[in-house]
Formats: sequence, C-alpha cells, structure tokens
Amino acid sequence: MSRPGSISVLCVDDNPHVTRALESKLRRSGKFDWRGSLSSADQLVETVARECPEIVLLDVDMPGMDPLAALERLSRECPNTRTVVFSGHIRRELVERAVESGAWGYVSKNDDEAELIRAIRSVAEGEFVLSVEARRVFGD
Amino acid sequence: MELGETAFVPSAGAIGQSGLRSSVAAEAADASFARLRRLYEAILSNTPDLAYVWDLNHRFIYVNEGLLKMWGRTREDALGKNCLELGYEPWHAAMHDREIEQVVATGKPVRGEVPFTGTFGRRIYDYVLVPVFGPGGQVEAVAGTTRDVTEYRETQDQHRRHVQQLEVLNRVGTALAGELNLEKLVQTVTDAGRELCGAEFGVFFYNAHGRVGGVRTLRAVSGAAPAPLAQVSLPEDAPLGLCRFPGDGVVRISDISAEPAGRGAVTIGGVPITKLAVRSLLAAPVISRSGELAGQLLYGHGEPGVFGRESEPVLRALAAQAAVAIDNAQLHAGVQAELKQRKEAEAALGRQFARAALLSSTLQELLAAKDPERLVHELFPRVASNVGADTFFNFLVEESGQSLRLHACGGVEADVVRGVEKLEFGQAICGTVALRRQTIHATDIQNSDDSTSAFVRSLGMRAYCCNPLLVGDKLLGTLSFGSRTRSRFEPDEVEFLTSISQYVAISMERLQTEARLQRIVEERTRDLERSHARLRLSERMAALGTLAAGLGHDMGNLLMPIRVQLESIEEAGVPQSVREEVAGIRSGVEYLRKLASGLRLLAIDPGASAKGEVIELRSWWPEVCTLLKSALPRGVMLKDDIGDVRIRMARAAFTQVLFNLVQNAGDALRDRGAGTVRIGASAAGEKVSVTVSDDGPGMPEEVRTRCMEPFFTTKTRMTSTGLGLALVYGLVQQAGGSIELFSQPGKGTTFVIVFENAVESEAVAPKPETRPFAVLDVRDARLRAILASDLKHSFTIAGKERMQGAALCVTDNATVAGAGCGVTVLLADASEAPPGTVAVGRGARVETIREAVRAASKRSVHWGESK
Repeated sequence: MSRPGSISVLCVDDNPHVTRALESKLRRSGKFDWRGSLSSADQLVETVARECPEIVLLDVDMPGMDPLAALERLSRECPNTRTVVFSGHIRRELVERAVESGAWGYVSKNDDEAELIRAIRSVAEGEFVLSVEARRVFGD
Repeated sequence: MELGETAFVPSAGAIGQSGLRSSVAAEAADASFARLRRLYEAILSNTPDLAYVWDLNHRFIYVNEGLLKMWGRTREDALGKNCLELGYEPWHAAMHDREIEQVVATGKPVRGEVPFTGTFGRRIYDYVLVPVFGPGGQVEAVAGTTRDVTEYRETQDQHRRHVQQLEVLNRVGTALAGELNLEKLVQTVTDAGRELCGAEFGVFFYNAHGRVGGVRTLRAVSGAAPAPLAQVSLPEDAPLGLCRFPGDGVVRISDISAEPAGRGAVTIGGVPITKLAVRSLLAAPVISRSGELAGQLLYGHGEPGVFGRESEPVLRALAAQAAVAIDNAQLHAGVQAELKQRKEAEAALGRQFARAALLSSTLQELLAAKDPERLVHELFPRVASNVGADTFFNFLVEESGQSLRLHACGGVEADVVRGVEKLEFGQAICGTVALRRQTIHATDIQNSDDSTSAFVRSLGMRAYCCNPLLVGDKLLGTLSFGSRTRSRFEPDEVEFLTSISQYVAISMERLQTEARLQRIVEERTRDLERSHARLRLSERMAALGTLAAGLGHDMGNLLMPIRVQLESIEEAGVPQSVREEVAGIRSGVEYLRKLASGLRLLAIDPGASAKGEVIELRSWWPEVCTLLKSALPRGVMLKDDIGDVRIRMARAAFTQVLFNLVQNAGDALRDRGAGTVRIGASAAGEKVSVTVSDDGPGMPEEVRTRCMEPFFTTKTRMTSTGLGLALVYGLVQQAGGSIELFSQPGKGTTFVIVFENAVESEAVAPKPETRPFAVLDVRDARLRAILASDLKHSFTIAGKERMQGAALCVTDNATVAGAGCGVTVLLADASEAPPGTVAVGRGARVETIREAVRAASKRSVHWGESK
C-alpha cells in the first residue's frame, strides 16, 4: 500500500542507469512510492498483480516479451493500474499502438524530467497525457 | 483445060471432053478408065472429107458427095460456079481466090482453117489446097480436101481452158498457201474467181474474227460490182446473213431475168438479185474444215449464159482452196493473237514480278529505314525508273490538321517549290487529296485547263498521281509522282504507286511512333535513373537516419540518468566549487541532449503521413541547431533568422533537407576555414521561404545548372556521392515545395525553398468563427485526446455545453445523443442509440472508433458547409 498522498510507481526498463536514476529522482521527491523495477516485461502482469502500483513506467524497447503485448494484458487484468510509456522512441505508429494497448500517457525520455513527474501525477489523477514530443507525431 | 491422068480421075463430063484414041485400045483404055473412075468415085463419094477441084478460073469442076450434102446442092447446080456464086460470104470467097492464085503461082499446097455455116450448122473446117499439074508440069487445076474439125477444135479449146483454169487454180493455190493476211487472201481469191469464171465482177463476203472476239462480215470486191453489192452495209453481228441462197452447193443462173420466181428470190443485203443489172450469176459457199460457213463467193455478168457448167467445179475448187486458206489465215491470226496475248501476258507478268520485287525490297528498306526524309528520297529513283516518273512531292500534315507542309521533293528546282512549301487542304492536287483522302490521277495535264492541276502543269507535268498517306483513319500527308514524258500512268502503275504510298505511310507512322517511344523511353529512363538514385540515397539516408536516431536514442537513454544524478548531487548540498563543476557537466549534457534530439529527428518515421505534418519552425529550430552546427567545419558560423512560420512537411525529411544544405554550405567553406552559413525562414502571403546561404566561393555556371542532378559532384567520390542535393530536390518536390539556387562565383550560394504557408492555408480555410464545430463528450481522456487530434483540422472542438448547432457530436452518453447536432457518433451499443445517430459499439477498438468518427466528420463537414 502506498503512503497517503504518494503515488506508487513500478518502473520497467532494461537500462539499469535509467531505473536507478528514476528511483533516485522519485524517492527524493518524497511524493512517490517506489515499488521497484523490472528489466523486462516478462513478469509485468504478475508483479503488478502482486504490488498493485498505481502507475507503471514502461519502456517499449526491451529484450524479452513485447512490452506493448504485456501492456494490453495488463490493461485487461489490472484495470486499476495506469501505464505511462516512457521511451526514447517517438513514432506515431508506436504511440498509437501504445494508446490502443491501454497506455494512459506517452512521455519521451528526451523530455525534461519535470515533464515525466507532471505526467505521472496527471495520469494518476485520471488524465490522458502525451508529452511534447509525443504530441508532435500527431502534427500537433 | 484438061485433067492430068495420074493425078486425078475426071468426072464424066470432063472425060466426055477428052481426046480420041484408037478404038480397040481406046475401048480397052475406056474400060480401064471407067473402072478406075468408079473406083475413085466410090472413094471420093464415101470419104467423110470434102473433096473438090477448081479450074484456073476458080470454078468448081469437081465436088464430092460430102461437099454437096454440106452445101445442100446438087452437082449440076454446083459445078461450074465459083464460091461467091455458091453463096459464100464475100470475105470467104475472096480468101479462097487468093489461096487458089497462090497455089497456081507457087505450085505448092496451101493450108487453112475457116468456120462455115452449112447444112450442119456452123462448123470449123480444116482444108488443104494442092496444085494439079498438067503433062507439061504446069498447074492446070487446084484440088482441095476439107475436113470438119469442129469437135477437135472444141475439145482442144476445152482442154486449153482447163489447163488455163488449172494454172490459175495452181497459181492461186500457191499464192494462198503463202498468204496469211486475210484481206489480201480474200482479194486474191475474188480476183482469181473472176478470172476463172470470166465474170464481170466478183464479191466475196467473208467472216472475220473481231479484235475483241465475235465475228463480223467483211467484203472483197473484184471488178465493177453493182452498187448494192459493193456498198451494202455489213452488220457486225450478222455474219453472212445478208447473202441468202437456196441450197448449200454452187448456184449457177444463166439468165436471172428468165429464172422462175423461186430461184430469182435470192436477195443480197435485202436487195433481190433481179433488181441488179446482172444476167448471169455464179455463187459458191466457202465452208471451213469445221463445217462452218466461212464466206460466200459471188460472180456475175451483165450477159446471160456466161457461166457454163464447167465453171461450177472450178468455183467449187476455188471455194475449197479459199476455205483452207481462210482457215489457215484465221488459225494463224489466232495463233498470232494468242502468241501476242501470251507475250503481253508474259510482259505484264514480268512487270508484275518486277513491281512485286520492287515492292518487296522497298518494303524491306522502309521497314529498316531510320529517317523519314531519306526514306522517300531513296525510294524515288527506284519508283521513277519503274513507272517513268521524274518528279515527286511529299507533304506532311501540319499540327493544325488543316494544311500540308512540304517535307521532301525531287526532280524540281529548289526555287520552284518555294511557292508550295505550305498547302491548305483543298488547294492544288495534293491539298485536294488530303481533303478527300483519295487518290487523284491527273492525265494529259498539258491539254487540260483544270485549275487544280495548274501548278503541276506549270512544271511541265503531263501525268501526276497523288496518294494520301493514311494509316487507318490517320492522315500523315501525301505522296505524289509526276511525269513530263508520259500523258498517263497505267492502272497497274497507279495501283503500284498506291501500294508504295501505303508502305511509306506505315513506315512513317512507325518512325514517328518509334521516335515518340524513344523519347518516352529516354525520358522514363532518365526519370527512373533519377528516382532510382533518389531512392538509393533516401534508403541510405533512411539507414543513416535510423543509425543516427538509434544513436540519439541511446544517448538520450544515458543522458537522462546522468541528468537525474547531477540533480541529486546538486540537491545533496555539495560545496560551491563542486556545484560549478556539476553545472559545467550539466551544460555538456545539455549539448549532448540537444544533439541526441537532433539525431533522432533524422530518422524517417514510416508512420508519418505523405503530406507530412505542420512544422512550427521556431520550435523545430532549437532541436536541430546543434545537429546542424555539428555538420559544419570548425571556424564556420551558423546563424539563424527564423520567423514565426509554419510549413507542412515530414519533420525528418525537412531536417534532412536542411542538414544536407548546411553540410553543402559547410563543404563550400571548408577550405577557407571561416565563413558564415545563414538559415532564414520568413512568410510572405501564402508562401513561406526557407533560405540556406553561405558566403563561400559560389558556383560557376556549369556547376550551378547541374548541381541538383543525381551523381553530379565537384568533390571526390570518396567524400561525396553526388546525391545530396538531388535528394534535397526530391524531398522538397515530394512535399509540394520548390527549390531555387542563386549563386555566383565569389558571391556565395543561396538555396531558397518555397512552401505553401501552412498557417495561411489554414487561415484561408474556414475562419474560426465560421468553421463548423464538433462536440467531444468522451469520458475516456486518452480517446478524447486522440479524437481531438484527428478532428481539429476540420472543426473547432467544443465541450457538450455547445451541443446545439454542432456539426458533429462524438459522445459516450446516450442521453445527449442527437440533441441538435448534425451527425452524432454514439460510442454505445446500437440498442441504446436514438434514431439518427451512428452507433459504434461499446467494446470497439480505438481504430474502429476513429474510422467511424472520420467518416462521420466528412459527412458533417459537408452538411455544415452546405447548411
């Protein structure tokens, strides 16, 4: 269970530098409940079912199971957990597939970290978020 | 006068006057004499000859019984009288007087022949007068014997005539045997017949084969034939119909005027022969070996009884000879005609073969021809020699399709044709052929006053044949051949020229088509080479872009944690000196982040639409400027003057365009090691221009005109593909823009890219207040975001409070559906959908929903505009 007022987050990224940096960033803010990280999407649904994080930060370019396929299953089986895709790949078809698979947000790794923090908060509040770069692929 | 004892037995009277003898001797002598006298008397009285004796006074002193019978006199009546006294015609009597005197004078016999009409009628007599010598040797009387030679003479005459006729027939036969000319032949026959029959005139009606087949009757005339026979007209189609005789054989009429009605009913040319001034008539049919009537020989005479029975076989023989000769002549004529026909046919066949060979070789040459003008020039001498032409004109239809232009000509001086370099349809012979699309063969032009042929007449043409050059319904022009020596071309020559023209037309069409195809192929090949080169380059650039983007992505992946960790260090309350170091590191990281961002922009996004996206250049610039700067050599500055403009193009493609142009400018400045590259963007009305300029050495003319061609480069192949600017050109074109280059040696180079102003084009579209608006009442925020993104180009997006009057409403709330909207898309099951709404279904996939909304939006935009 997350602390009152904090948002519980699970991070899935094969790059340990990223997960370590995110963990450090989110813990230091004191407003997030770090529920750990996975280096692939293979155990995503099981882990979420066990940990019940409010937000999953999901990279889409990882070895192992297709992260978006895992996301689709996750949306179906754990509807209370919302996923924000956090990726360096910003392509329209990728964003569309992610949205279709149940993503609530799409944030570029190249965006400022503050953008990621805002996105996590907004999605947790029920908003759908596309970061600046992700919106651009729709001609925005 | 006394009669000699040895020579003559005197008559009783004469004896009675003789001298006296001794009685015994006299009696014995008398008895002997009487006996001798009886003996002589018996002989002389019974000889068929006439015997007589004149005294020297020309009086008959003895005549035998034969003579007395012929005279019809008695001895007593006759003796002692001379010829005249006995009723001889004076000339006859005078003739005998002369002969008697001659015998007396010469003592030699005289022989003669004379006609005399006695009791046996008119007979021919042969006579011999001999002297009777007295004892003294003097002539004391003249004795004569006469024999009737009438039969002999007639037989002799007949024989002579037969010989003569045979000679004539033989001569005619010889003449006919060598005569093959029908006219001469029949004339010979006609003349010979007249000679054989002793006719006054002869006419030969005969059949002749006409030049073009059929038979007609002709006539040969010998002597002075009566006018009806010589002049009666001979109908072409009534062979011998004008000469009708009864029976098939020889007809002989001794006296027409005495003929009974049946035989006198013979008509010639409708004229009864009784009306002709003819009494004797002899006619014979000429029957050929085949039994056909070949002609009719007709002879006549003004006197009756001229043609005897003996003339019938003669004429029959002549007719037979004539039949054979006519048969031979006609056979010969037939053979000659056939030979001639065969020779003509052979000659015609030879010409046909020659033409066919010429057509064949011409066709081969035409098929192999490469140049339409040479084609007709090379063709001309061959055609000319074949049909005797000495001039040709070849006109081609001009683009207007209403006039002809002279394409080639031969056999005329150059200054002559200046007036006819262009002909309107309908003008002169060639123009008329073009108008009617039919062959014109003008003949005997010099004797014609036809205005159409005035020009060729002025050239001295006598015959001129012009053909249209037609391929199907398409008229290419005309081809004509003229002759100054011939007044006309034969039909087979006209046909030949027509065939040649058809070949030329097909050949020209082929050459034109080939040239057209060649141009198309060359154009397509060039296009293909260009697009192939661009494709390769764009593949290469896509691969490079992917590599760059991957690099950018990985850099971003690494930079993100570095940034976070730098932040942690700063937040950890480190000393100022460390904080400054961290700030330095952060600055470097920031540079790398921008570079990574720019690198990622080089990746072509396969999902991006062909029309691209709207790029707001001021927000795009910071993302790429680092990357662009990195493309420049050290010492070269990059300056920007980016206005507030937006263009529509795929972002990666636009980035690649600018990257290439900047890189190109940097290369131009590389050797100097200093200079400035400027990027500018500004809007002017509906256009946006993006410029990339450098203050480098500029391009010479040759480089400037060719630098956007694929593979063109001024650099070494090791450092340049020669495709960079070609790619730029292709990408800008694909995006609907244009690119221009301004460069002069020593004055730098400027590329100006012009796009439609994306803002302007949207502004030209419905103004915000006039645009239809769409209500999005969807609880699912992410779906709402996607749909809003889809619709915002066509609609002003509004909330459900503006439901009334909205062109489109997309809602998941069935209770508000259809409330005053144009088209409503209800994200619910069909059972919940009120009438007039489009139900998509609750569990529908996002793409299905988007598709339905897109379809509805098209209808609603239409509805909104029309309303």
